[in-house]
Amino acid sequence: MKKHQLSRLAALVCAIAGVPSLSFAQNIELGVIGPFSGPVATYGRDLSNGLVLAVDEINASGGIGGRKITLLMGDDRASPKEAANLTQSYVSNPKVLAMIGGVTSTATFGAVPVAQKGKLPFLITLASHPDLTKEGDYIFRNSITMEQEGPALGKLVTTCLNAKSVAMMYINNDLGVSMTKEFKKALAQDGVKVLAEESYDPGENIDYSAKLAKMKAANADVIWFGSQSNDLALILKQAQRVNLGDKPLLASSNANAVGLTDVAGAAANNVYLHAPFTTATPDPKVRAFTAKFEQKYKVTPGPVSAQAYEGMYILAQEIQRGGFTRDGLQKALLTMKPYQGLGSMISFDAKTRETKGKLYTPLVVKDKQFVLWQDCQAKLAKK
Amino acid sequence: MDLFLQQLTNGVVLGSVYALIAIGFTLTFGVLRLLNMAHGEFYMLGAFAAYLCSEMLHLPIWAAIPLALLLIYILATGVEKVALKPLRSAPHYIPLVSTIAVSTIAGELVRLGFGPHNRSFDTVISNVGMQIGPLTISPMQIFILVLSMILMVIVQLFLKRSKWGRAIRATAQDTTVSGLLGINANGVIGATFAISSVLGAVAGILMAMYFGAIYPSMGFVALIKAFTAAILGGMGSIPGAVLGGFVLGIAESLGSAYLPSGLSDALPYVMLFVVLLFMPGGLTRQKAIDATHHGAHQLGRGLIEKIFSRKAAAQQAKQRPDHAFGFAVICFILLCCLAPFLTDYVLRILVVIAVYAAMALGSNVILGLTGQLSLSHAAFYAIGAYSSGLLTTRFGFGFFSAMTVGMVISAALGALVSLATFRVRGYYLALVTLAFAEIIRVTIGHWTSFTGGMMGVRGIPAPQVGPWTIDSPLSFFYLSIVICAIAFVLYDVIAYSVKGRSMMALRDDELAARASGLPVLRLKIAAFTLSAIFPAVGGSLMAHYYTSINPDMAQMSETVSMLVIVVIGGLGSAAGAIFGSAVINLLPEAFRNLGDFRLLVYGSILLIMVLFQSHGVFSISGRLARRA
Repeated sequence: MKKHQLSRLAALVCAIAGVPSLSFAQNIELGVIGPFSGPVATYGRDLSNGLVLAVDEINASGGIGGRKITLLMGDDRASPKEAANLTQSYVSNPKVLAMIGGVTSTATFGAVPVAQKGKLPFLITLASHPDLTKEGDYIFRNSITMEQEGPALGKLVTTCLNAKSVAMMYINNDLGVSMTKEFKKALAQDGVKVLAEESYDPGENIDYSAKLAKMKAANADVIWFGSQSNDLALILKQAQRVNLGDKPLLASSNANAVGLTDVAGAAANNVYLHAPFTTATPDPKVRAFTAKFEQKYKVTPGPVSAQAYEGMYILAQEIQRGGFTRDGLQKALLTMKPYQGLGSMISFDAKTRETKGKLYTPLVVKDKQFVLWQDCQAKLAKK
Repeated sequence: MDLFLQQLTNGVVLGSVYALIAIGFTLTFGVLRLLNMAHGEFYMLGAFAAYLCSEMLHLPIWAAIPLALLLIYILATGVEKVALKPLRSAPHYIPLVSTIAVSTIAGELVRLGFGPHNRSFDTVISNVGMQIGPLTISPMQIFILVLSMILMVIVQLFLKRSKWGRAIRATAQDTTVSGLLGINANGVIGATFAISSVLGAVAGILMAMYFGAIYPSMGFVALIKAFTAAILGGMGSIPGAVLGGFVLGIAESLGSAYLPSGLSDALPYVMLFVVLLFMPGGLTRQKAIDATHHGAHQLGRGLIEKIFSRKAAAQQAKQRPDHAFGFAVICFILLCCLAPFLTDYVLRILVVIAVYAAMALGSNVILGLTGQLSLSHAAFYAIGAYSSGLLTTRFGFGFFSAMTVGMVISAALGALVSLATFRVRGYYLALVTLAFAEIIRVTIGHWTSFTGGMMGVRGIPAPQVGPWTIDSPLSFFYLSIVICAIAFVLYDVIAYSVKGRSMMALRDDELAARASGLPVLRLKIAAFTLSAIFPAVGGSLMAHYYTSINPDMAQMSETVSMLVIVVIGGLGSAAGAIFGSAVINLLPEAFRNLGDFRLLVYGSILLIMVLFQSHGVFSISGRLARRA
């Protein structure tokens, strides 16, 4: 409060003194990029929900050093062509301090070279291709990459499920492919065998019954799905028909969305997974976020919204430290002070500009709800 | 063996639904000679209408489904009146674009109304498997199979026995003659479209019940299945569509059990490709229908009119450098001078406009000049991009040499595809080319060791042109506008050469062209080969521009956008391609602030343009028609 008054006073002094009030009265503009129309618009909506909630909170509590944040919502229609144009419009707009968002890897790949070349800090909050941040030192990411997730999945298999073999089914896109690669590496280290491996193309044939029959026939200790929540819901419904038996089903953090439990219903029960963000935790910060989110949007927040929300706060925290300039913000992000996010303390690895410190919470679906997988939590804690 | 029997059973169930979608699709094709790109949307709308009636109005399922179908019937009648009826006498690719617009609008309306996420669609019929001998079958599967069988029989009886059915069949055979015999052709066409859409809707509802979920983008995959099944069976034939549906369903189910995943996804397209090439009539050997001789429009054109229009074409040829050409030269010089003063944002949009205009010129060679509908441009675009991407990052090639390799590969493949023209024509040709494009897309996506698969290729270096490194929007603008200008001149040279004139003669009347001794096949091969080079160049440029590429580049939407550019600008017109590209690439930028409504507005504008300017803005044929 005091700070707020101080900045107002400063603005007043500037105004009286006839000094053009350089920064105090100006709003901070941030460029958002994501698909807000077309087939994957569902992620775009989750993204904007998280961002808008964070911005409303920040602005209500006085903004950043007295300056309000304005979000420019830019639709990339999941196309690299539009993403490149949009990013350029942000780069060319001197009022825009940074970019946030990035949903599909395809479109985000159109954006990163433009942002890097234009020296506009870009915080990716979802797109998962491991190479995105390798474009240059202005590209950051606060969501996890699937490369990071692989080893964590390995621990669930060995420590919690005590399994010696796995049958795998995954989506053939950058997300599924990179996750599976790292997961297999982790399993090989622990001597776990992969007995079957099947991939399916996104948006093609949604009859998965043959692939499920193969999963069943492999007779492995665990059946793993490297799927997104949408396809996993369809897969699990079909699994009821195929009847996979009583083998444990394991999914990834990508399955952690209400879309899974809403659509798959009882078919999702007893599916194991883990996630950096979960509404099932007693963490008070997560609780408060969930309550506010549900009140505003009437839906339960998922990881897309949570990561966007965290990303917004990270930017807000570092913008002031960076002196309200693009270059300053970039340097501040490189040496960012750890931020208490929704479930983990987050900071960036100064070399890779990827997030570090994210913790996975093991989860299980019970009665159409994601709940803590306490047994596994205890086992992991013991190790 | 158990797996085989199980998959066979699943395939039959799936096939029965595919058959329903395909029947609707083939019916519309039969009377309208129209590839209805909105057919998949009716499939989706059917499922959503049923959801609306059962989950939101709380009707029991036996009441909800008929009500939903009634809604679809009314809706489809309306769509036909607004978006298709006014285009009855337009060339066949115009209603095609109109259905693309309808499909965009419908998809976006549903997304806005229901939200983009999946919704659970559960019914009282259980979908939990029961063990019967070696098979696991759910009551839902039995229900679907029985219901679709009953519907197929009803449709067949309706067409064979009822008065309306006979009218539909008569109209399908010959619109003009059946009109002379007192059949209200417009009424029949409208009713057929609505019935087809309802069949699509039934299929959508059954699929939604089977998979237990609905989502706004579910229509596209259904559309692909519909035309694969319809073609497999023989376009225009109801028993053929049924057969095609079952063959597709069974092949897919068995394929996903016994083939590696990449291959099983490509399977429908490979089947399509092979069937079209070796049995163009499909499995039931329908007589191949030539799309250049269809409907009242073509039949009504007398011989005299044709002679006149050819005279007019000859006059036009003498008037070479026409004012559109001069206009383009002025624009080119003006833009080159102004470029340094433009913002990077404007420059980037201009780059995209120039590259897409150059690529659309390729579509113009094949569609505008030669009158062949080819849907493989996205494949050549991707081939150009991947040639540049892979050769420059892995094999140390320079910008121009990599681009040249891409052009050569594309041209060679273009020539290969054109061999299909020897056997198939019209829409069949369009579908051969579409199948080819999909095979290329799946190959790129799955040949991981070479193309990087779904991970794509990244780190494509900036082009090096002589002493300049093309790495800023300004330098990229100059590069792309020069290439666009070269493409423009090249197109002009082709269009006004003897070869180009012969292509146009071929477009206007293939039979007459053949009769007057033109080497028709050679001309088609030349047109395909030439037209494949343009998108390859565009792909190469965009690969360097984006610096990273992935298999999405070969998606059908890229082909569609090139097609739409050509149609909006005016078929055969080089200036039109530039104008069309400007419209298509500027509209989304202008509408970015519309947020959620953006695609909806875009679709609506597309529809309005097609309805009111169906010859395109710079159309040669449009101008000729006015003069004649």
